[in-house]
Amino acid sequence: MNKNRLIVGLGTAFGAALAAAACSSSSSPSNPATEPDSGGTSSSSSGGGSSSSSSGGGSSSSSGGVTDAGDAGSTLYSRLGGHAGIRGAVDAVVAQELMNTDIASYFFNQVATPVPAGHPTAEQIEECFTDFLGSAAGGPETYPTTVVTTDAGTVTASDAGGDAGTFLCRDMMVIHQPLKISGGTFDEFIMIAGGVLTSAMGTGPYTYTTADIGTVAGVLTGARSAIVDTNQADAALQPFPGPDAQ
Amino acid sequence: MRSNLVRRLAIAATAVGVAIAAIGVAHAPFARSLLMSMGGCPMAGARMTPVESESARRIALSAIPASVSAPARPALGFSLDVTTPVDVRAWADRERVDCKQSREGLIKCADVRPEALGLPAAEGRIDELSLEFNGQARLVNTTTYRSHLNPEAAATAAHAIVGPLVDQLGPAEKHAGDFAAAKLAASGAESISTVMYRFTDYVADVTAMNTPSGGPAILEHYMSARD
Repeated sequence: MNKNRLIVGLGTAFGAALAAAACSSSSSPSNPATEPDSGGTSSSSSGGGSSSSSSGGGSSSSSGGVTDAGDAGSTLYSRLGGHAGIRGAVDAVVAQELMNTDIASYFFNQVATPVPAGHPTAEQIEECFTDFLGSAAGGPETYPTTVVTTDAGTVTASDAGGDAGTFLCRDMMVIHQPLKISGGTFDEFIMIAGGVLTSAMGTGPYTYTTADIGTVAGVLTGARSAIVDTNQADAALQPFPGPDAQ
Repeated sequence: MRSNLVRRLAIAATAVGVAIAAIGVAHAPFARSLLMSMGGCPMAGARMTPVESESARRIALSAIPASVSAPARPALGFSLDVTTPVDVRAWADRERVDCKQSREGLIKCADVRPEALGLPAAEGRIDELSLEFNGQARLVNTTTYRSHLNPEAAATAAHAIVGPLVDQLGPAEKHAGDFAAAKLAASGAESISTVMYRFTDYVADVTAMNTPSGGPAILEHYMSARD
C-alpha cells in the first residue's frame, strides 16, 4: 500500500515537475557565485554526506512536511541515494518518458535544437526535479529554487556537457494548465515512471523501504487534479494538443 | 528637444501597449475564430516533427547503458529501420485497420485486432498502436496501449506478450512483478509488473499496471537504438 502510494506519488511529482519545467522558468547565463540555492549546493557528495544528520528521521522538511518513517540508522533522503541517487532515478525516468511518442511531445522545447530562449534544457529540468524530490525527502535541497549547471557540479559532466546557465524552477501546478494533459496521458506517464522506479528498487544506491514510499507519497499524492486538465480528465492518452486546443 | 524625445517615447510605449492589447484580445474566446482566420497563433506551432522526435529518441538512448546487440528485434510484426509509412498504409488497408497520420512521421491506429499483426488472440485488442518514423521514413519506434481491462484479461494479454519476448530475448535485464491477475487487481504501484530490455541496437519494454484513470492497462514499447 505504501509502495503503491509512493510510486503514484513519485510519478505524479515527476509529471508535475517535468512538464511544469518544460514550459516555465527562465534561463540566464550561469553565475554560480550568485546562486546560493542552486543544485550546486546539494551535489552528490553533499547529498549523501548530509543525509545522516540534518535531515534525519522524524524531522520535517521545510517544504513538504515529510516525516521520516524509516529506520533509525538512516534517513529517507539517504535511502533514496541522496542527491545523486534521486538524480539518477530522475534521469532514468526522463529517458524512459522521452522514448514514448505521446509523452515526448510535451517536451517539444527540450528536444528542439537549440532549446528556445526562456525554456529549460532537459538537464535543467532533471536537476530541478531532483531538488524538488530532495527537498520533499528531507534533504538540504530547496524548492522552488534556481539550479545552476556548471562543469563542476549540480549536473554531472556527462549530463550537462558544459555550462547550461541558470534555471528558475517555478510552481509546478500552475504550469500544467497550458499543457492540457489528459487523464489517459497521465496514466501512461505514471505507468512509465512506475515501471522504472519499481524495477530500480533495491538496486544501486536505493535502499528505501515501503514505509519510505508512503512517507514521500504523503507530500506528493493529490497532485493529479492539478496536473490533468479538467476538460481532458476522461480523455484517452494523447500527444500535446497544442496551445490552441480547447 | 527634450519634449520631442518624450513624445517619441510616449508614442513608442503606446504602440507597444496597443500591440500587446491586440494580441491579448485576439486570444480571447470571442476572437478565436478571427485569430484562426489570420493563420492562427504563431506559438501554436509548438508540435513535434520527425526532427524533434529523433532528438528525443537520441537523448533517451544516450542515457541508456548497453553493451550487447539484441538477438532479435521483435516489433509487432513490423521491421524496425525497414518498414515505411507506405508499408503500414498497405498493411492497414489489407487488414482493414483504422490508421491515421497523427503528424508527420507518426501513424496511429485504433482498436487493432492482434490477429491483424499476426499475433495471438490472447494478446487482446490494442486500443492504440503508434508507429513513429525517422527522417528517412523508416520505422524506429512502436508503442501499443491497452486500458480499461479487467485483471484477468490484462494478465492473459500480458503473459501472451511477455512470454514470446522472453523466448526471443532471454530474461529481462530489469524486471518487477509477475503480471498475474492478482497483482493487476491491486492498486497503484502494487499492481506494477514490468520487463525492460536494453541492447545497443534495440529497446523493449512491457509494463502492466492498474492505472488511476484507466484501470488495468498494458504498455508495450519496441524501439530501434540503431543510428
